[in-house]
Amino acid sequence: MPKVKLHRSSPRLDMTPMVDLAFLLVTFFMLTTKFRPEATITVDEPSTQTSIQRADKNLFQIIIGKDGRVFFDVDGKFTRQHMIENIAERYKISFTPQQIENFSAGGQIGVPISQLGNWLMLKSDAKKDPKVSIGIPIDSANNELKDWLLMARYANGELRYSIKGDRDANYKVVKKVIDDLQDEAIRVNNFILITNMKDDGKKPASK
Amino acid sequence: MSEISDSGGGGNKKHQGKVKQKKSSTHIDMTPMVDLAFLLLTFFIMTTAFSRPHMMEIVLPDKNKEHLTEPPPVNPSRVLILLLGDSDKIYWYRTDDPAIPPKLNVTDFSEAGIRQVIAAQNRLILQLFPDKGMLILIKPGEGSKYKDFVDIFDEMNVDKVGTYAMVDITPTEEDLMKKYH
Repeated sequence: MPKVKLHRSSPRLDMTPMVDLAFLLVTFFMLTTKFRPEATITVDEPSTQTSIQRADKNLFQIIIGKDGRVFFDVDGKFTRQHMIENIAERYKISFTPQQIENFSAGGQIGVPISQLGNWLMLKSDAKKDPKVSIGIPIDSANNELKDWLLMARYANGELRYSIKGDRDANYKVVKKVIDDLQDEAIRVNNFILITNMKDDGKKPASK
Repeated sequence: MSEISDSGGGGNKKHQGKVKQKKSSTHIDMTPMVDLAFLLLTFFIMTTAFSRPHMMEIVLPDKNKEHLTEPPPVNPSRVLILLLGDSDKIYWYRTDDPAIPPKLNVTDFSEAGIRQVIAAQNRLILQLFPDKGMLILIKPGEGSKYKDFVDIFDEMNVDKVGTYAMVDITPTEEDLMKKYH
Protein backbone atom coordinates (compact mmCIF):
# COMPACT_ATOMS: atom_id res chain seq x y z
CA MET A 1 0.00 0.00 0.00
CA PRO A 2 1.48 3.31 -0.99
CA LYS A 3 2.12 5.69 1.78
CA VAL A 4 -0.06 8.68 2.02
CA LYS A 5 2.03 11.57 0.86
CA LEU A 6 1.93 14.41 3.28
CA HIS A 7 1.14 17.63 1.57
CA ARG A 8 3.65 20.17 2.68
CA SER A 9 2.63 23.72 2.17
CA SER A 10 5.28 26.19 1.34
CA PRO A 11 6.26 28.50 4.19
CA ARG A 12 6.41 31.35 1.76
CA LEU A 13 3.79 33.99 1.91
CA ASP A 14 2.76 35.88 -1.13
CA MET A 15 3.69 39.40 -0.17
CA THR A 16 2.69 41.08 -3.41
CA PRO A 17 -0.63 42.58 -2.24
CA MET A 18 0.99 43.85 0.93
CA VAL A 19 3.76 45.51 -1.03
CA ASP A 20 1.20 46.99 -3.39
CA LEU A 21 -0.70 48.47 -0.53
CA ALA A 22 2.42 49.73 1.22
CA PHE A 23 3.66 51.51 -1.86
CA LEU A 24 0.25 52.92 -2.56
CA LEU A 25 0.23 54.48 0.90
CA VAL A 26 3.83 55.66 0.57
CA THR A 27 2.99 57.37 -2.68
CA PHE A 28 -0.10 58.96 -1.16
CA PHE A 29 1.74 60.34 1.84
CA MET A 30 4.68 61.49 -0.22
CA LEU A 31 2.45 63.43 -2.52
CA THR A 32 0.27 64.94 0.18
CA THR A 33 3.05 65.94 2.56
CA LYS A 34 4.18 69.47 2.19
CA PHE A 35 7.40 70.00 4.01
CA ARG A 36 7.28 73.02 6.17
CA PRO A 37 10.22 75.35 5.66
CA GLU A 38 12.48 75.41 8.67
CA ALA A 39 11.41 77.95 11.25
CA THR A 40 13.67 80.96 11.44
CA ILE A 41 12.40 81.92 14.87
CA THR A 42 11.29 79.39 17.42
CA VAL A 43 8.28 80.21 19.49
CA ASP A 44 6.93 78.49 22.56
CA GLU A 45 3.19 79.01 22.38
CA PRO A 46 1.09 79.31 25.54
CA SER A 47 -1.18 76.39 26.39
CA THR A 48 -4.93 76.65 26.67
CA GLN A 49 -7.72 74.37 27.73
CA THR A 50 -10.14 75.45 25.06
CA SER A 51 -9.30 75.53 21.41
CA ILE A 52 -10.64 74.93 17.96
CA GLN A 53 -8.97 73.14 15.13
CA ARG A 54 -9.34 74.31 11.64
CA ALA A 55 -7.57 73.67 8.39
CA ASP A 56 -4.50 75.85 8.25
CA LYS A 57 -5.05 76.94 4.69
CA ASN A 58 -5.03 80.61 3.80
CA LEU A 59 -3.44 81.59 7.07
CA PHE A 60 -1.42 84.72 7.67
CA GLN A 61 0.69 84.23 10.76
CA ILE A 62 2.25 87.00 12.76
CA ILE A 63 4.96 85.49 14.88
CA ILE A 64 6.10 87.28 18.02
CA GLY A 65 9.31 86.06 19.58
CA LYS A 66 10.34 86.07 23.20
CA ASP A 67 12.62 89.02 22.52
CA GLY A 68 9.89 91.06 20.81
CA ARG A 69 10.99 90.42 17.24
CA VAL A 70 8.06 90.20 14.84
CA PHE A 71 7.98 87.85 11.85
CA PHE A 72 5.27 86.89 9.45
CA ASP A 73 4.47 83.86 7.38
CA VAL A 74 1.73 83.38 4.83
CA ASP A 75 0.47 80.43 2.82
CA GLY A 76 0.19 80.28 -0.90
CA LYS A 77 2.89 80.75 -3.50
CA PHE A 78 0.68 82.95 -5.62
CA THR A 79 -0.27 85.19 -2.69
CA ARG A 80 3.36 85.62 -1.69
CA GLN A 81 4.45 86.46 -5.19
CA HIS A 82 1.79 89.15 -5.43
CA MET A 83 2.83 90.54 -2.06
CA ILE A 84 6.51 90.95 -2.89
CA GLU A 85 5.75 92.50 -6.27
CA ASN A 86 3.45 95.06 -4.69
CA ILE A 87 5.93 95.80 -1.91
CA ALA A 88 8.68 96.34 -4.48
CA GLU A 89 6.46 98.79 -6.29
CA ARG A 90 5.49 100.65 -3.16
CA TYR A 91 9.01 100.91 -1.76
CA LYS A 92 10.52 101.61 -5.18
CA ILE A 93 13.04 98.82 -4.93
CA SER A 94 13.57 95.86 -7.21
CA PHE A 95 14.16 92.22 -6.50
CA THR A 96 15.90 89.71 -8.70
CA PRO A 97 13.81 86.82 -10.06
CA GLN A 98 15.74 84.51 -7.74
CA GLN A 99 14.83 86.63 -4.71
CA ILE A 100 11.18 86.66 -5.73
CA GLU A 101 11.32 82.90 -6.19
CA ASN A 102 12.85 82.44 -2.72
CA PHE A 103 10.20 84.65 -1.17
CA SER A 104 7.36 82.85 -2.90
CA ALA A 105 8.64 79.43 -1.88
CA GLY A 106 7.55 80.04 1.68
CA GLY A 107 9.03 80.51 5.11
CA GLN A 108 9.02 83.08 7.82
CA ILE A 109 10.05 86.61 6.94
CA GLY A 110 11.62 88.76 9.62
CA VAL A 111 13.70 91.61 8.30
CA PRO A 112 13.12 95.24 7.26
CA ILE A 113 12.20 95.65 3.61
CA SER A 114 15.43 97.54 2.86
CA GLN A 115 17.44 94.41 3.75
CA LEU A 116 14.96 91.90 2.37
CA GLY A 117 16.67 91.27 -0.98
CA ASN A 118 20.00 90.17 0.48
CA TRP A 119 18.30 88.36 3.33
CA LEU A 120 16.33 86.18 0.91
CA MET A 121 19.56 84.82 -0.55
CA LEU A 122 20.83 83.60 2.83
CA LYS A 123 20.80 79.98 3.95
CA SER A 124 18.27 79.04 6.60
CA ASP A 125 21.00 78.56 9.21
CA ALA A 126 22.27 82.08 8.69
CA LYS A 127 18.74 83.45 9.02
CA LYS A 128 18.45 82.01 12.52
CA ASP A 129 20.92 84.54 13.87
CA PRO A 130 18.94 87.21 15.76
CA LYS A 131 21.44 89.83 14.56
CA VAL A 132 20.64 88.93 10.96
CA SER A 133 16.89 88.48 11.28
CA ILE A 134 16.13 91.54 13.34
CA GLY A 135 12.38 91.38 12.83
CA ILE A 136 9.88 93.51 10.98
CA PRO A 137 9.71 97.13 12.15
CA ILE A 138 6.44 97.92 13.90
CA ASP A 139 7.22 101.35 15.34
CA SER A 140 4.68 104.00 14.57
CA ALA A 141 7.31 105.92 12.58
CA ASN A 142 8.23 102.95 10.43
CA ASN A 143 5.50 100.37 10.44
CA GLU A 144 6.27 97.83 7.74
CA LEU A 145 4.04 95.14 9.20
CA LYS A 146 1.07 97.28 8.28
CA ASP A 147 2.22 97.40 4.65
CA TRP A 148 2.74 93.66 4.54
CA LEU A 149 -0.74 93.13 5.96
CA LEU A 150 -2.21 95.49 3.42
CA MET A 151 -0.45 93.73 0.54
CA ALA A 152 -1.59 90.36 1.84
CA ARG A 153 -5.16 91.65 1.87
CA TYR A 154 -4.87 92.81 -1.72
CA ALA A 155 -3.29 89.56 -2.81
CA ASN A 156 -5.74 87.19 -1.16
CA GLY A 157 -9.05 88.31 0.28
CA GLU A 158 -9.71 84.96 1.92
CA LEU A 159 -6.77 85.06 4.28
CA ARG A 160 -7.35 84.53 7.97
CA TYR A 161 -5.04 86.36 10.31
CA SER A 162 -3.42 84.79 13.30
CA ILE A 163 -0.99 85.66 16.04
CA LYS A 164 1.51 83.09 17.15
CA GLY A 165 3.28 84.53 20.13
CA ASP A 166 5.82 83.23 22.55
CA ARG A 167 4.40 82.84 26.02
CA ASP A 168 6.92 85.33 27.38
CA ALA A 169 6.47 87.94 24.69
CA ASN A 170 5.64 91.29 26.21
CA TYR A 171 2.05 92.42 25.87
CA LYS A 172 3.13 95.82 24.56
CA VAL A 173 4.34 94.21 21.32
CA VAL A 174 1.18 92.13 21.09
CA LYS A 175 -0.87 95.27 21.54
CA LYS A 176 0.96 97.00 18.68
CA VAL A 177 0.34 94.03 16.42
CA ILE A 178 -3.36 93.97 17.30
CA ASP A 179 -3.56 97.72 16.66
CA ASP A 180 -2.06 97.14 13.21
CA LEU A 181 -4.60 94.43 12.49
CA GLN A 182 -7.41 96.73 13.52
CA ASP A 183 -6.02 99.64 11.56
CA GLU A 184 -8.48 101.52 9.39
CA ALA A 185 -6.98 100.23 6.15
CA ILE A 186 -6.76 96.62 7.26
CA ARG A 187 -9.73 96.14 9.55
CA VAL A 188 -9.19 92.68 10.87
CA ASN A 189 -11.26 92.43 14.02
CA ASN A 190 -11.62 88.70 14.01
CA PHE A 191 -8.40 86.81 14.34
CA ILE A 192 -6.89 83.65 15.69
CA LEU A 193 -4.44 83.01 18.49
CA ILE A 194 -2.33 79.94 17.85
CA THR A 195 -1.90 77.94 21.02
CA ASN A 196 -0.85 74.62 22.38
CA MET A 197 -3.25 72.19 23.94
CA LYS A 198 -2.87 71.73 27.65
CA ASP A 199 -2.07 68.12 28.37
CA ASP A 200 -4.15 67.62 31.47
CA GLY A 201 -6.44 64.87 30.19
CA LYS A 202 -9.49 67.07 30.26
CA LYS A 203 -11.78 66.97 27.32
CA PRO A 204 -11.49 70.29 25.55
CA ALA A 205 -14.61 72.37 25.45
CA SER A 206 -14.96 72.91 21.75
CA LYS A 207 -16.43 76.11 20.59
CA MET B 1 -0.20 30.57 -7.86
CA SER B 2 0.42 27.48 -5.83
CA GLU B 3 1.90 25.78 -8.86
CA ILE B 4 4.75 28.17 -8.99
CA SER B 5 5.56 28.00 -5.34
CA ASP B 6 5.39 24.20 -4.99
CA SER B 7 7.51 22.83 -7.76
CA GLY B 8 10.40 24.20 -9.65
CA GLY B 9 9.59 22.49 -12.96
CA GLY B 10 6.69 20.76 -14.69
CA GLY B 11 5.16 17.86 -12.75
CA ASN B 12 4.45 15.27 -15.42
CA LYS B 13 7.73 15.41 -17.17
CA LYS B 14 9.50 13.34 -14.51
CA HIS B 15 7.66 10.19 -15.48
CA GLN B 16 8.68 10.39 -19.05
CA GLY B 17 12.36 10.32 -18.15
CA LYS B 18 13.32 13.29 -20.23
CA VAL B 19 16.26 15.50 -19.37
CA LYS B 20 15.12 17.91 -16.79
CA GLN B 21 15.61 21.48 -17.71
CA LYS B 22 16.92 23.66 -14.96
CA LYS B 23 14.49 26.43 -14.29
CA SER B 24 15.48 29.19 -11.94
CA SER B 25 12.89 30.26 -9.45
CA THR B 26 10.77 33.22 -10.37
CA HIS B 27 10.69 34.36 -6.79
CA ILE B 28 12.38 37.55 -5.71
CA ASP B 29 13.00 38.09 -2.06
CA MET B 30 10.79 41.05 -1.35
CA THR B 31 11.61 41.45 2.33
CA PRO B 32 14.07 44.38 2.00
CA MET B 33 11.67 46.17 -0.29
CA VAL B 34 8.83 45.71 2.16
CA ASP B 35 11.09 46.94 4.96
CA LEU B 36 11.89 50.05 3.05
CA ALA B 37 8.29 50.64 2.05
CA PHE B 38 7.08 50.43 5.62
CA LEU B 39 9.91 52.62 6.86
CA LEU B 40 8.90 55.35 4.41
CA LEU B 41 5.26 54.80 5.21
CA THR B 42 5.88 55.25 8.93
CA PHE B 43 7.95 58.36 8.31
CA PHE B 44 5.31 60.06 6.19
CA ILE B 45 2.47 59.14 8.51
CA MET B 46 4.36 60.51 11.49
CA THR B 47 5.29 63.77 9.82
CA THR B 48 1.85 64.58 8.43
CA ALA B 49 -0.57 63.68 11.16
CA PHE B 50 0.67 65.89 13.98
CA SER B 51 1.27 69.17 12.30
CA ARG B 52 -2.09 70.90 12.65
CA PRO B 53 -1.94 73.74 15.14
CA HIS B 54 -4.47 74.51 17.83
CA MET B 55 -6.14 77.84 17.67
CA MET B 56 -8.30 80.18 19.63
CA GLU B 57 -10.52 82.66 17.91
CA ILE B 58 -11.13 86.14 19.25
CA VAL B 59 -13.28 88.92 17.95
CA LEU B 60 -12.68 92.52 18.90
CA PRO B 61 -15.00 95.45 18.29
CA ASP B 62 -14.35 97.57 15.23
CA LYS B 63 -12.30 100.61 16.21
CA ASN B 64 -13.14 102.74 13.23
CA LYS B 65 -15.00 105.91 13.92
CA GLU B 66 -17.84 105.53 11.46
CA HIS B 67 -18.97 102.36 13.19
CA LEU B 68 -18.61 103.78 16.62
CA THR B 69 -21.90 104.27 18.37
CA GLU B 70 -22.38 105.50 21.88
CA PRO B 71 -22.04 102.45 24.11
CA PRO B 72 -25.12 101.74 26.19
CA PRO B 73 -24.72 102.94 29.76
CA VAL B 74 -23.60 100.19 32.10
CA ASN B 75 -24.15 100.19 35.80
CA PRO B 76 -20.60 100.13 37.21
CA SER B 77 -21.67 97.72 39.94
CA ARG B 78 -22.09 94.86 37.52
CA VAL B 79 -18.63 95.27 36.04
CA LEU B 80 -15.72 93.15 37.20
CA ILE B 81 -12.40 94.63 36.19
CA LEU B 82 -9.36 92.41 35.78
CA LEU B 83 -5.94 94.01 35.48
CA LEU B 84 -3.20 91.74 34.20
CA GLY B 85 0.03 92.49 36.01
CA ASP B 86 3.54 91.18 35.83
CA SER B 87 4.70 87.76 37.10
CA ASP B 88 1.36 86.03 36.47
CA LYS B 89 -0.74 88.15 38.77
CA ILE B 90 -4.27 89.34 38.21
CA TYR B 91 -5.49 92.37 40.12
CA TRP B 92 -9.23 92.71 40.24
CA TYR B 93 -11.78 95.12 41.62
CA ARG B 94 -15.38 96.15 41.49
CA THR B 95 -16.45 99.65 42.15
CA ASP B 96 -19.75 101.41 42.55
CA ASP B 97 -18.36 104.82 41.79
CA PRO B 98 -15.63 105.10 39.12
CA ALA B 99 -14.50 108.44 40.57
CA ILE B 100 -13.19 106.90 43.78
CA PRO B 101 -9.88 105.04 43.41
CA PRO B 102 -10.70 101.37 43.88
CA LYS B 103 -9.09 98.92 46.24
CA LEU B 104 -7.33 96.13 44.40
CA ASN B 105 -7.36 92.45 45.22
CA VAL B 106 -4.76 90.10 43.85
CA THR B 107 -5.09 86.57 42.55
CA ASP B 108 -3.41 84.29 40.01
CA PHE B 109 -4.24 82.11 37.02
CA SER B 110 -4.68 78.89 38.98
CA GLU B 111 -8.02 77.13 39.34
CA ALA B 112 -8.21 78.20 42.96
CA GLY B 113 -7.46 81.77 41.93
CA ILE B 114 -9.22 83.58 39.13
CA ARG B 115 -11.82 80.86 38.56
CA GLN B 116 -13.06 81.17 42.13
CA VAL B 117 -13.07 84.96 41.92
CA ILE B 118 -15.13 84.93 38.74
CA ALA B 119 -17.57 82.37 40.16
CA ALA B 120 -18.00 84.29 43.43
CA GLN B 121 -18.40 87.68 41.77
CA ASN B 122 -20.80 86.23 39.25
CA ARG B 123 -23.00 84.96 42.07
CA LEU B 124 -22.93 88.34 43.84
CA ILE B 125 -23.72 90.28 40.69
CA LEU B 126 -26.51 87.90 39.71
CA GLN B 127 -28.20 88.61 43.06
CA LEU B 128 -28.10 92.34 42.33
CA PHE B 129 -28.96 92.13 38.63
CA PRO B 130 -30.80 88.83 38.11
CA ASP B 131 -31.62 89.50 34.46
CA LYS B 132 -28.33 90.97 33.28
CA GLY B 133 -25.41 89.24 34.90
CA MET B 134 -21.77 90.13 35.02
CA LEU B 135 -19.66 92.09 32.56
CA ILE B 136 -15.91 91.55 32.64
CA LEU B 137 -13.38 94.11 31.46
CA ILE B 138 -9.90 92.81 30.80
CA LYS B 139 -7.09 95.31 30.95
CA PRO B 140 -3.64 93.93 30.23
CA GLY B 141 -0.97 96.00 31.94
CA GLU B 142 2.45 97.08 30.74
CA GLY B 143 4.27 94.24 32.42
CA SER B 144 1.95 91.45 31.33
CA LYS B 145 3.04 88.75 28.93
CA TYR B 146 1.36 87.28 25.86
CA LYS B 147 0.70 84.14 27.91
CA ASP B 148 -1.43 86.12 30.39
CA PHE B 149 -3.45 87.57 27.55
CA VAL B 150 -4.13 84.13 26.05
CA ASP B 151 -4.77 82.57 29.45
CA ILE B 152 -7.42 85.09 30.41
CA PHE B 153 -9.32 84.53 27.15
CA ASP B 154 -9.01 80.82 27.74
CA GLU B 155 -10.41 81.32 31.22
CA MET B 156 -13.37 83.25 29.76
CA ASN B 157 -14.06 80.31 27.46
CA VAL B 158 -13.74 77.77 30.25
CA ASP B 159 -16.00 79.72 32.58
CA LYS B 160 -18.48 80.44 29.77
CA VAL B 161 -18.52 84.13 30.62
CA GLY B 162 -20.99 85.70 28.23
CA THR B 163 -19.89 89.29 28.07
CA TYR B 164 -16.30 90.36 28.29
CA ALA B 165 -14.23 92.96 26.57
CA MET B 166 -10.63 93.96 26.27
CA VAL B 167 -9.94 97.57 27.15
CA ASP B 168 -6.79 99.66 27.40
CA ILE B 169 -5.47 100.13 30.90
CA THR B 170 -5.51 103.61 32.41
CA PRO B 171 -2.43 105.21 34.01
CA THR B 172 -4.28 105.34 37.35
CA GLU B 173 -4.73 101.61 37.28
CA GLU B 174 -1.06 101.05 36.38
CA ASP B 175 -0.13 103.16 39.41
CA LEU B 176 -2.45 101.21 41.66
CA MET B 177 -0.88 97.96 40.52
CA LYS B 178 2.62 99.26 41.18
CA LYS B 179 1.67 100.50 44.64
CA TYR B 180 0.07 97.23 45.60
CA HIS B 181 3.34 95.51 46.53
